[in-house]
Amino acid sequence: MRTMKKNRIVKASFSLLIMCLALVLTSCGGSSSGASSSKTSKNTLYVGTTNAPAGFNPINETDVAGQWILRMLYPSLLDQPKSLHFQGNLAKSFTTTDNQHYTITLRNAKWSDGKAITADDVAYTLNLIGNPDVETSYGANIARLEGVDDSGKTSSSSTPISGVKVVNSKTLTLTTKAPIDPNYVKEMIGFDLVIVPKHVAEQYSPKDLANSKFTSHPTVSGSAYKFVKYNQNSYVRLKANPTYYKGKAKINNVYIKILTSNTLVTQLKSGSIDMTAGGGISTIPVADVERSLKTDKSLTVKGAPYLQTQYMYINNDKFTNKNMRLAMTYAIDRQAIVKKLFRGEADVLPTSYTKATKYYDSNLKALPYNVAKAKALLKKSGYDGHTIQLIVPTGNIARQQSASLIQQNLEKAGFKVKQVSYDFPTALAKMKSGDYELGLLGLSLNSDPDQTYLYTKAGSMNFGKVNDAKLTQMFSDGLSETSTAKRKQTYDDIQKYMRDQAFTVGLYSDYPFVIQNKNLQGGNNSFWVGSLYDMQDWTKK
Amino acid sequence: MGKYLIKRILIAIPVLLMVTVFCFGMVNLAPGDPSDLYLSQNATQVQKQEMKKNLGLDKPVYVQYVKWLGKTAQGDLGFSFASRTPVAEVIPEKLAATVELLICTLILSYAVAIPLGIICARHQGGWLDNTITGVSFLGVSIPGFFFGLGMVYIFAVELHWLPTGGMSSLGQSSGLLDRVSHIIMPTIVLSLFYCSNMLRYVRSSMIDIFSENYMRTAVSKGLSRKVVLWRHGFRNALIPIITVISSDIPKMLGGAVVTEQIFSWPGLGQLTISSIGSRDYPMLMAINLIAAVGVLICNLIADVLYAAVDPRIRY
Repeated sequence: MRTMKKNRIVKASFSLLIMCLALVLTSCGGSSSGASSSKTSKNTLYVGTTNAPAGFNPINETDVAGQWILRMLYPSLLDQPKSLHFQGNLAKSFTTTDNQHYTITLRNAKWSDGKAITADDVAYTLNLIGNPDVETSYGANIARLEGVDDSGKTSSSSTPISGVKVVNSKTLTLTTKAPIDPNYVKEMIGFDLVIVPKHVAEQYSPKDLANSKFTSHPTVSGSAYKFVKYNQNSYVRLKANPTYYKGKAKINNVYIKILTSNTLVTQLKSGSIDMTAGGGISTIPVADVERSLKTDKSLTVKGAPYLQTQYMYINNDKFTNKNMRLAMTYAIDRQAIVKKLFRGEADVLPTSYTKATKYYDSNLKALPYNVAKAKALLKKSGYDGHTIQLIVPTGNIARQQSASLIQQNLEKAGFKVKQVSYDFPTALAKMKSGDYELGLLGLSLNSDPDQTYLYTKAGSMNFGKVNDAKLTQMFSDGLSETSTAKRKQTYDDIQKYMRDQAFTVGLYSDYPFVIQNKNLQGGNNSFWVGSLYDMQDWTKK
Repeated sequence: MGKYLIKRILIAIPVLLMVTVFCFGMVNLAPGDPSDLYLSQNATQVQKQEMKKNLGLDKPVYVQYVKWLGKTAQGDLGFSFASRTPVAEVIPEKLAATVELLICTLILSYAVAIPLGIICARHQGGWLDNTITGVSFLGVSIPGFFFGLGMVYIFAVELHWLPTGGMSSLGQSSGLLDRVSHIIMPTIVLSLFYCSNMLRYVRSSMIDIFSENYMRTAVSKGLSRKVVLWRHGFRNALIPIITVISSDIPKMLGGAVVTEQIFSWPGLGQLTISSIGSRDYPMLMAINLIAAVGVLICNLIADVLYAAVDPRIRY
């Protein structure tokens, strides 16, 4: 009798516990606030990324993840399936006869709400970027147009850009301040910018646009997918746009999950995601790729050169002696870094130009590892033996590991080096302000070879504090040259000069891995940023 | 009691204010300019100034604080720097996810720890006590991230019994079973420490109580074992247990930061980490405010519970 009563109490307690759990699970969090699935359906694409998008503002997006997702929502004028190989997207044609006046003709296309995409939308987008009241990260993209200053702004919010003229609903012209390489215009305006639906955006005051619903919850799309929901730092949900002019996407739903590197690996292996976003926004340590993912028969793993590079910035204000900078370059065993940390899945580069751009000078060799030469140069440089601080941003594990190798290498050559780690925003702030001696940092570059912003005195990212008249002139020549062949020669000269002056030490360019399930037909290609041009045709088995 | 509660709430207001001043100062003392993070690599100084103005960072810190406080008092937590959405829109969903995880963790931790702690105390020094205490030592010693990754590898990657992370299956109908399957691993990982910790508290409290005179009196009066144990024993052990619970809950919020990262649990922990990385001041301030309010509420509830379980305590 007593045992029966005891059992009843235990059962009742257990039922109560289950009920409590059920109540909590059903009452908290809503029904769809999560980020994973154990099985994936044919009609839904699951993509994993390690970087959360900073909103969906088509004219003010600095993070790569956000820019990548925006391409799924808004159309660009041109596609770029391979580096500097452009093909029409929203633009049927993008032509010039004198490299200064460009005529753009649009194809028949509609926004997801049924309204036609017209030349007015394109002109509106460019004028919005040029409006001094509007927050934008794309000012530099239009800075070569007639009617804007060097930061890409017009003189007042009511002044339209004189270099942008709408001819008719499907045609507009662009005029640059001077003749320029058409590829520059095609990349900076045709490919980098996405077109904004004027009829939606103009409902907001330009000043309020950055904080508006238009940029946080886009309702109208013109590309393959429509925005459905963003659960911050968890996932982005998209749905196929039925009015897309290339045809409705074959995969109806897309979930872009924001995950840590570890979770990305486990979700790839368990089949919970179909592909990684790639391109530096789904970083997985090479050791995990080699050990866990390349051995998985359900996955394809490919690495290829891309536009991202890692540098050791040298503060040229503090290290004015060329011999000292060269000594640092010779002292660092970059091949060993590539071999040990990337198992060969990276390139040692002579400068900041990578193999992914056709302007890379393949005949130019990187300065070799040579401790004896480094010691000789260091002796000649008059190094006072002070301890040099090397700033190492946290977050990128491979970069942090490379810092120890670099420190050992430099000390072997006779430098005294101390590593100082900061979180990324702090490291960036210190390097921007010039409050550092040496610092490690990575950048993702354009296909176009202009790097004025990195190596000239007025450059916004001249963290190396480079101020070299000859180099500035060379970059100016490179930008004003309109022939691709002649530009190539100019930038070959620039690369040789940069290598020999050692303004910065180009460390390595690691290959972003394209990892996807074999069930997915389509996905990223080796020129990652241009991969989405055929997204509507991707399918899952 | 009513007067006491009002007094405590009134005291909580200046405490909260001090917490916000401290947090605002700390957040702003961190080097690095948020405007650098939200501008393109080609941005000019003019664009940077414009961005600072738009984010409200062009004013002195004390002006920014007063402005923030004024808006917060009116229920406006501002705009997230990172996503440019109102903070008040983002927080509820994240808070709900974290609360769900914390409640499940609390239930699991204490449902396991309290009975086991009593069993250990009753069989003090026996093989059962030694085994359970040994396992509990292991529980407080294993780092949560290590245990979590191990569980993911075994139960999700190798055995495919449970999902690797998240809160529900995206793009598929997510019923109760689906939700339960997603919460099992994060709950177990987060519970491990608190369960082991509580077990040791319950055990030592009950051992002390078993040697008290009133326990012997209760037994000699002929009361049943159950009455002696629960009414005379456990009720007296509740005071230290309530203290532990009230301090566990804020600690759990901290523990959830790691657990949420491992299991991609879309809660406040994940949001905190990303907000620190992106110097999202308004979001961080809102999270700090919630955490501070949570701690104050927990302490207040603990005080009320002291009076409820111990008639000697009167306010």
